[in-house]
Amino acid sequence: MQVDLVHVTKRFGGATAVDDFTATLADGQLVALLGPSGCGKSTLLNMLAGILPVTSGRIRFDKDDVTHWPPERRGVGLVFQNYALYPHMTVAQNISFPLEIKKTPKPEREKKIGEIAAMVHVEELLNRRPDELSGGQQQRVAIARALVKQPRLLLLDEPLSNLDARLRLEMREEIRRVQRETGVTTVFVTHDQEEAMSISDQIVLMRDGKLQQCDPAQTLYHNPANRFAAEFLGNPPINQLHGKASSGRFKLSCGAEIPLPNPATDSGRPAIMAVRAEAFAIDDGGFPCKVSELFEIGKEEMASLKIGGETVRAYLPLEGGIRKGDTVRVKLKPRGVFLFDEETGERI
Amino acid sequence: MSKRGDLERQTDYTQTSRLSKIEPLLYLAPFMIGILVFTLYPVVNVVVISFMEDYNYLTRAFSRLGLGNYINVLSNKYFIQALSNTFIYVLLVVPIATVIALAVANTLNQKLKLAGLFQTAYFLPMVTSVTAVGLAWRFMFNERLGIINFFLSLLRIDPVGWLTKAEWSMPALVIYGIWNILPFTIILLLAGLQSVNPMFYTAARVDGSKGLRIFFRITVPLLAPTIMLTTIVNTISSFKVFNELFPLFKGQAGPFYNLYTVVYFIYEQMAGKPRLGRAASAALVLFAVIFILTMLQLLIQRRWNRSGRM
Repeated sequence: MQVDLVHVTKRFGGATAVDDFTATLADGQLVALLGPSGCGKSTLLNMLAGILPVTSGRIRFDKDDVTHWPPERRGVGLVFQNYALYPHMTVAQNISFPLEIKKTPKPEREKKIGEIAAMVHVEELLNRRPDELSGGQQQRVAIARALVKQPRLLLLDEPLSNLDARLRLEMREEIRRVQRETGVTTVFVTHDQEEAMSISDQIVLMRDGKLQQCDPAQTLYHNPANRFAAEFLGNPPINQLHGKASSGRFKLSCGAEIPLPNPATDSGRPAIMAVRAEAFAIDDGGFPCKVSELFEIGKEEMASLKIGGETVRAYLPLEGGIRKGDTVRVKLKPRGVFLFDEETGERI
Repeated sequence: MSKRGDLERQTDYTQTSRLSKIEPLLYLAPFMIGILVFTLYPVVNVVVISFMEDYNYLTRAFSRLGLGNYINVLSNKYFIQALSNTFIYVLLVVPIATVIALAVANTLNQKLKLAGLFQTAYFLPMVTSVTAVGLAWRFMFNERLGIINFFLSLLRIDPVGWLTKAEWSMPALVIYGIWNILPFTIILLLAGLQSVNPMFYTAARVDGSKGLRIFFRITVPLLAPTIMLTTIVNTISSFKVFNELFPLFKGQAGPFYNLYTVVYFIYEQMAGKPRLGRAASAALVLFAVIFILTMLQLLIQRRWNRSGRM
C-alpha cells in the first residue's frame, strides 16, 4: 500500500511538532523515520496510526483518504516502544486479540496464530505470559500481534531501543526478514542513523518537524540535500570546515587553502565544506597537513589531521607507514565532499 | 595498652548491644500496650466468655464451660433470621456497589469538565458520620415528605413505604448501605485505573476495538486485583451492618423487627438483661463466617491470577 502525506501539520498549543510535511512512502517498502529526539517523528507515526488527529493536511492510504479515520478503522499494526503486550493475556491470547475483534472464526484464528507465531519464532511461547518473556521475545510477540490481522501498514515506534546491543542487531535483521516475507509497507521510527541505514529501503529524515530529505540510505549518504543530512548520517561525523569557495579552491577562515575536487563550484558567500573521513587520499600532489593523532581501527587507520588551524578526521591506508607528527600530502576525492551555504545550510 | 583499649571497647560494645536490644521495645511499647489492652485482651476475653454458660459479668460467675451458648445462638430463630438478612444485605450491597463504583470511577478517570466537583461530591460520604447521614436518609425515605418519593411521583410512581413496610425496609437499607461504601470503593478503583498504563488502551484501539469492549477486555482485567481488594474489604464491613440500620429505623431492627442483622442481634443481647456469653458466641460465629468467605475470595483470586482469565 502506498502512503501519501500531503502538507501534514500537527500543532500542540503553540508548538508545531510536524510542519507542512509532504512525502510518499512507496508500496511494500521498509521506511525509516529518522531524526533526533523531539523532531516529531513519533508524532508523525501516531498520526499515521490515527492515534493523534492532524491539525491540517491529508493522509492517504492508496486511494483512501484516511485523515479522519479512527485507528480501529485504518487497519494498521502498531508495535510500541515497550511492546504494550496485555499483561493479563498469554502470548496466544495477545496475538489472538485483534482477530477476535474482527470476529475471525476460531479454527481460522488458530491457524493464523500458528502461522504468525512460526514466522516470528515464538511458537514455543504461546502459553506464556508477557512477564515471563525476555525483551526480544516480547518484541517478537508484539510484531506477531501487529501482523496477524494482515494490516495495510505496519508501524514500529523505536522498536529496538529497549534491547541490548546484541539483541538489537538480531532483531533488526528479524524485522527486515519478516517485512520481506510479508511484503507489508512498514514505517519504523528511530533516532539511530546506523539502524536506519542498515535495514531500510528508504529513509525519511526529519528535523524540527520538517522533512529534510526522503531518499534511499545510499543516496542520503552520498548526496545529502543539506548540512543537517550530511551531519546526521555517517560515523565518524562528517568533518566541517568554514570558509569560502572560489575559483576551484576552498579558502578556510584560518587562512589555509584546499583545492576542491569539483572546481566548478563557487560559493561567493560564506560556506561550509563537509568532508567524509573516507574522502581523504594520500597523494604527492595534494596539500600538506600534519598528523596530530593516529588510531588503528581494523584494516584502516583513523588520523586526526591539522589543516591550518582546523582538525579533521580522516581514514588513511595502513601501509602508508605514517607516524604521529608526520606531515603528509593529501587530496580530496570527489565522492564525499559537499559544500553548504553557511547561513541556510542548503547544498551549493 | 592497646590490648586494654580493645577490651574496653569490647565491653562498651556489649553494653550498647544490651541497650540496643531494649531500645526498640521501648519505642514499640506505647503501641503494643494499646493493642494488648484494647484489642488482644478483649478478643481473648470474648473467646473465653463465649464458652462460659450463664456468665454474669458483674460477679464473673458462670455455671459451666461448654458449647451451650453456641447451641443456643445457632438454634435461635432471630439469629438465623439475622444471619440470612446479613447475607442478603452483603450479596446485594457489595456487587451493586462495585458495579456502580466501577462505572463512576471510569467516568471520573476520563478528562471531564468539573471533575474536581464530581470527585468532591462522590467522596463526601467518606467524611460524614454514618449515623448523622443515616438520619438524613431517614428524612429522604419518608413516605409522605421524603425527596425520594417526590422524585418517584414525578415518574408517576405511588409513594413507597420505605421505612414503614416490611417488604421495602431491606431495599431502603441496601440503598443506604451502597451509598455508604461507594466513596471508599470509588477512591480505590480510581487509584487502580490511574495506574493502568494508557498505552494499553491505545494498543487495543489500534488492534481494532473500542468503547465497552476495551472496558471489559482490557480495563476490568487489569483492574482485577483492585476489584478483589475492594470486594473483600466491603464484604467484611458489610457483614458488620449495624450503623446503617440503627438510625434508619429509630434504633429498631426494621419496622416490625424484621431486619435483624448479626451485629444488631449481638447488640440486643446486651440490652436489657445482658447475656454476654450469647453475644460473644454470636460474634465468633460472625467472625467464622467472614473468615471463611475471605479465604474463599482469596482462593478464587489466586485461581484467577494463575489462569490469567476473567
